[in-house]
Amino acid sequence: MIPNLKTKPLPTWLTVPNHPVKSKRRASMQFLSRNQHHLRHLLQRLAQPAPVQPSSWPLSPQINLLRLGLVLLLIASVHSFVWLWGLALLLGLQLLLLPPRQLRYFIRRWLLSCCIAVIIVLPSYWLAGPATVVFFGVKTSLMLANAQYFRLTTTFQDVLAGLKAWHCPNVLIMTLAIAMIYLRMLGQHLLLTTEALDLRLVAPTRHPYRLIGALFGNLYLKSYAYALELYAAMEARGFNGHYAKPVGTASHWRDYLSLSPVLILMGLLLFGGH
Amino acid sequence: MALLTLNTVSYDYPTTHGLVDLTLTVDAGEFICLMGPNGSGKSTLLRLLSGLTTASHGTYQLAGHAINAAYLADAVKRQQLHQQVGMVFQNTDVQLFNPTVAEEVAFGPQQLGLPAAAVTQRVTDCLALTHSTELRDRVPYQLSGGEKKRVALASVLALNPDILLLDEPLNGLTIAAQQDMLVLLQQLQRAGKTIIMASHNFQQVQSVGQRFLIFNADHQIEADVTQAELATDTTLQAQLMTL
Repeated sequence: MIPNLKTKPLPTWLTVPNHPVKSKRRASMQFLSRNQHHLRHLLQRLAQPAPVQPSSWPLSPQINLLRLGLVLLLIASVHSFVWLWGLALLLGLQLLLLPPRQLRYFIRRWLLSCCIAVIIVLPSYWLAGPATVVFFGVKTSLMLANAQYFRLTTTFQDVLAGLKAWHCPNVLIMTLAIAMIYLRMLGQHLLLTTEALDLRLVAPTRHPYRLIGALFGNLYLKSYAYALELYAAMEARGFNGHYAKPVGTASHWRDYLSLSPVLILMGLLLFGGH
Repeated sequence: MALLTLNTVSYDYPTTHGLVDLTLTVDAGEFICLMGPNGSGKSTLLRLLSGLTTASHGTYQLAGHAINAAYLADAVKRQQLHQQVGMVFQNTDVQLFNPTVAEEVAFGPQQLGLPAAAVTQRVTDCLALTHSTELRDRVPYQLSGGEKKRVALASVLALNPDILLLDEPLNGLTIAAQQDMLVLLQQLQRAGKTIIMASHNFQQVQSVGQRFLIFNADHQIEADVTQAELATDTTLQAQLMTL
């Protein structure tokens, strides 16, 4: 129960209903909304969808990463539609395990990336003919599908764990980790700030550039403070500039089982002739 | 007549649900507490009510106007909506961007084109109401978490919105400051403001909320009860104590 505190009476202006006033000046809010839209889009791209791999079949991060690398290498190396069909089937089987919502998300993102890739591949039409365009189009889309599936089913932390397990240089891992965390944090902060600003911009502002300056000045101060706090927290937890190999990344029989189809295809490609 | 009406509103994030089939009517002058577990949709509902996002499905009406993408695309209408609805964010850090606290509070009234004397009056009043007068010349960036909350509330109050949306406003405040804020909110409600507040602290809000909307983990309203109904429902009270 709240004690009966001595309260100040509300000022009169706060007790009368608010009658929204229409600004006489031209409303020019497009700049803010347009940039909010861009920021949301960027954050959506940076956002990591929740991993959807069933817990009964988890793969260790390093094998997952190796698997992706091998599949991409295979797709890049083969010169036959039959091989591509086989690799597409392999991916199709994995896609069957995705929940419908994730599958729809996968298809949407994949089609979008394919459209962009096709535009890049198309100019070779004049150089090498339609057959080459179709072949490379299929190859590219299959590579993108595998990459998209990896992105959808692997957390960013797992990618880092995979890189650590493969003894990637610490500086690369640290740069990737901090860049990703920072980009998201700053993007999120800037988006929320512009939203808060939008809520209080009840009329067109006379000095939009002063506002933008204040926003970015604020963002700089916050990011500086955040960096110091982050580093202090890392040091407090014993960070000395070296990333230790993550615990629990030992390979399991199911890792090798999931890797085996790719290894068999690789063996066939190398030694079987085609 | 209902001030706010939500009719089978759903909101979807790219990979998850935010709100599912929410139907709700709010009358002017109500004090509503939103309660529920983390990620149950309380903040999403507040964002939707403030016009920061629009519903994926269903309709949202405020004082007879359908608040949808088309409405919000009109800058003049959106500005009018923001004069009526004020929001204090959960992370008030993002809400403060001016060089001093006084300028922060004056930002809204200046936007409204009020005369300088009226702006100064509003700043003085709002800082006094939120017990932040001594912070007047401080830099918002250097304030503590609780002080930022108070300044954020002052900056929103300066616009005199009819509807106040508060996302966890008591977090980071001392017990005394929490009580001060709740007393102020009660005063505002008695003055005719509609207050919708998300909170986890049932013990703090049980005496001030008139109506409690309890969300479940499926992003739906599990219970919509008045203070009197809640007082007799010991099971629900026990559930809310554990949030």
